[in-house]
Amino acid sequence: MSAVLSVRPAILASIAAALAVLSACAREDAAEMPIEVTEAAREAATEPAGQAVYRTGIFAEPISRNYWSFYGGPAGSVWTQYVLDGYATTLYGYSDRRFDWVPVIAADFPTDLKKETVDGSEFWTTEVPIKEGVQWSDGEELTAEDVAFTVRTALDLGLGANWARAVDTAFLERVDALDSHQLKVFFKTIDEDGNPQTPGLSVWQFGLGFMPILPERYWAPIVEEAKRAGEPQQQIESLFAHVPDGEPTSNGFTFSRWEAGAFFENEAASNFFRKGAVITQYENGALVETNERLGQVSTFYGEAGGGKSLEYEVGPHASSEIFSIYGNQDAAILALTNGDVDYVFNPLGMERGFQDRVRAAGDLEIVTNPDNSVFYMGFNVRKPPMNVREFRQAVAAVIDKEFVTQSILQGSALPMYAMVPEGNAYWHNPDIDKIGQGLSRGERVERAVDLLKSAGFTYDQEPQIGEDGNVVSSQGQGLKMPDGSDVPGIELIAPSAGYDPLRATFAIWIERWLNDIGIPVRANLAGFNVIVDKLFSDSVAEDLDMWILGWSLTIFPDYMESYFHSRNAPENQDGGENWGGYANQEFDDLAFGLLSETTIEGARDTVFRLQEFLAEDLPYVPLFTIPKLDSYRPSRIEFPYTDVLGGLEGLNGMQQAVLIK
Amino acid sequence: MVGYLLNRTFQILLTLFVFMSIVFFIVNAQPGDVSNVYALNPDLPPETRERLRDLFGVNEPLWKQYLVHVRNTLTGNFGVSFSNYPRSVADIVMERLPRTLALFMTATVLSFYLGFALGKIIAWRRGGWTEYTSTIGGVTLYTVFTPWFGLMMIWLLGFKAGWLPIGKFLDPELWRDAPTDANAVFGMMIATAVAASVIVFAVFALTKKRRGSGAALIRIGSLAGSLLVAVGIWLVAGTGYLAWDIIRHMVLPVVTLTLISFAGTMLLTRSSMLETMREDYVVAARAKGLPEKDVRDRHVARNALLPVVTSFMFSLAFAVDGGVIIESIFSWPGMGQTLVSAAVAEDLPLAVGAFVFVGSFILLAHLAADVLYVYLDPRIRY
Repeated sequence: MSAVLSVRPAILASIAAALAVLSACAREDAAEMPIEVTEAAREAATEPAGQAVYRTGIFAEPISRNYWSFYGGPAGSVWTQYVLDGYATTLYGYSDRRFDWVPVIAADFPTDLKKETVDGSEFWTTEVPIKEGVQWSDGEELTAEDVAFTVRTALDLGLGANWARAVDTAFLERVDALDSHQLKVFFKTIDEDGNPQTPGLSVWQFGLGFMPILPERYWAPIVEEAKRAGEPQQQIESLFAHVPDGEPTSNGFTFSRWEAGAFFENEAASNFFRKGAVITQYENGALVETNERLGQVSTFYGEAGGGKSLEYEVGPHASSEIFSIYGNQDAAILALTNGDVDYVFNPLGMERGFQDRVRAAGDLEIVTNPDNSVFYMGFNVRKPPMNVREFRQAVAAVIDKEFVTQSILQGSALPMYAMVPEGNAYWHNPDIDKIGQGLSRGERVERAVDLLKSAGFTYDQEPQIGEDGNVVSSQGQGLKMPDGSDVPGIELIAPSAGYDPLRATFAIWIERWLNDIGIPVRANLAGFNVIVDKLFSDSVAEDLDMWILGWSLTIFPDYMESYFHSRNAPENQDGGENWGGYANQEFDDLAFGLLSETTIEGARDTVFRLQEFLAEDLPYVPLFTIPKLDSYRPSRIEFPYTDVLGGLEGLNGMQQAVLIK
Repeated sequence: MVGYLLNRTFQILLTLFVFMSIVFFIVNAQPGDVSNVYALNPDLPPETRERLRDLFGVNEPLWKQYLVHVRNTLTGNFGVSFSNYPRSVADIVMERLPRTLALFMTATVLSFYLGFALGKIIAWRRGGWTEYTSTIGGVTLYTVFTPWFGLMMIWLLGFKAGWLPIGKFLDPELWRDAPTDANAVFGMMIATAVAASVIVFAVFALTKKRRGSGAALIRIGSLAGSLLVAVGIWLVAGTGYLAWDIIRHMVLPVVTLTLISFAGTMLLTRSSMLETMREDYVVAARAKGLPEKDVRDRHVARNALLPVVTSFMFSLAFAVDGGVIIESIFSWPGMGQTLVSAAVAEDLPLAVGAFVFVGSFILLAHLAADVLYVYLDPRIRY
């Protein structure tokens, strides 16, 4: 007792202070709601239990909810893309599975481009009708003014990245709202140098037509404030910094809650303009969208008839969607197998170990689709011997893609020969020359040696093939250039196994096969940043020999112009992506023509010819693409279809169509 | 003492400056920069990377960037994160820090308590099965491959047995309609733990001269009382179920961390105890006929505590940087994951800011340990 009675005041004070801190914390927390919880979420909170929730897993944090920043700024990550998928709609889009170009909020296809003189200037013009009855999530109507506002903002602020692609200032002059449901688009008829130009598919149909539309009522005051922020860069920073609380959305979902590091939740928008619409595709190519909400039946690409190849009802069928954020793919897959989520977004593909784990779970379905990507080996065609076409063909001939993809990589990769993947069926040219395909090792070596010799290369000693015809018994020695000098040592830089084991494996085998035919190649497996640094360095023309990298591709393959047109070589354009310096006037003309092509059929012919060019000239040797694996729990969710280029992940998990059981 | 503290503070500031400079140049020495994320996107015009570089200032000469970082650090404003644009570094650190503190402080305290208690026992009972079992078990766990052990714990206790949640720090479906956010709950949990610790510590200090069951009763009572008051406050606040959800998610990583780290303290305590047991005053205490427990706890363990407390202080300081492996395995988005992702994404402001923040904590812990020595060992004077 004496000890208790001799209590020191400081100790008592500390106890009192501790209790005070504790109770103050409790009161503060009970009184305040610092987290963003929207009205929609509160209403949802009062709904009965057992709501249909689309539970998905992602393994990195989205960056921002600001769509301007996502589409054209630092928030442009794939994880942000998934969670914002339900926020913004477009004038036009792709149809299901077939990737036909179809209207979304446009009521129909645009009028044909025509030359028109306005206020003394000549423009290419076209008009687009906008559907009536399309609403933002707050119930207000989405109008042509919203489209014009979005374009105007991108032009006025000079927004970059995807905005710059959608609103191509080299072509686009402006977009006017003639009335609430009629747009008029003005394109320039001449380029900066005064040469005539035509806005092709990539500029108009697959460019501006795919631009996300943001609500003028919400954003106009914020954009105005941003414009008062000072220098152009500060204006953009001001716009990107805005946190869009209460922003109306138009693509089926609206923001509900973001618990940083834990989950992101969207609520379904009950007034989504496509909700309840029935999509029907016919085997004859016709497409019908029956939208009772808008009282519209739209038919495209022929008359409906014959068998149906697809039919489903647009949702959202989920009352909300939760994106649980995991620290890595391992944890996300574990959560999937444990039943915590029903679908995991896998933009990086799924390694064999994860596949086995998912298969072993029993209640999960794995679907495999071709990915819309290409992994390739590029040549610096400015330097000898890579500047000799036959040399590149010889290299292509000895690379046994089927052996590496099937025997070594056990089907984790799919061999590729064209720059447009087979899965992109409409644009893929199946008839290109596939050098080396189907040949034995001995035949490959013979073909390669023949090609080299036909270009004037000589050997001190040619490679020898073993008796079984499948083994190089003696490597080629003393390979000489057509001018008699030794073929110099060549560096092949490729990502290390830690970054991508598939590309690293290819690099090692290519080194071996090229050494077999006497080409002194050394594979240098390096970090991704090291390779990218080299490609974007000022001395790329001198330092680069051969490299292995990959591209994610778009459906409309205008990327061939970006990668191979000589104007996109780094020496001709800062940041150009034609790192190998490929220059072929005939190819340039064709590729440039593709950008001006205004008909789908015409573009397809051009794309086919471009693929033929590339398959023969081989500035790149396409190596492989990867199968896209998606895994989900069929007892909980159902997709209207699962066979599609790029897989379910490529469609952002089909948030507007997935059925929750 | 004051002179010593001033001198040490100056040394700390100097060390921090050197540390910040080294971190800046090491992170900068990596090839590439933050704009590489846009390097291979065919949809983007080539000037996109340049725009991003301009936006983040990485086009500026290195010395200019360095001066900006020095200014930011000195003003306590570490700038804006590249990879979490437009959030400030301070904002991100303040978001992640409570999660890491809650997890790693808990695990550190538990592992030290367990390690110290076991260390005392095995030093006192040398040669017995307790020593062999504890030492072999502890060292095995101490040297186990952490990722494997973490995954095994998840597989065993979370996946197979289904007793504990797998990964993350909360259940999204429970938190969808929560009236507050997780960080507020973390903050309140830490405040609760600190308040309860202060109360318990105070009660122990008040009753340290008492003997017998009365003292034990008061101590246990204070502990139970603190817990009851805390639970009561949580219930009144209406957020107790949220704290419980976080605690459920903490169990697995805390148990894993405790198991893999307690052996260090145990072996340190043991060796320190064995050294102290040979001291004359211990022999004298025994000769006076004091009970073995008193000799062990009051004469040996108290004097053997110094190196253990030093180790404990540094562990608490290192707790703020989390554990990259543990945070990754258990999907615990704290400081460890932040440091790694910032370094990988070449997010210079975040990497430098987070490292400087962690470095400051560690340097302050050194200072705190120096001060604590005086309290623990009256022989030490500065």
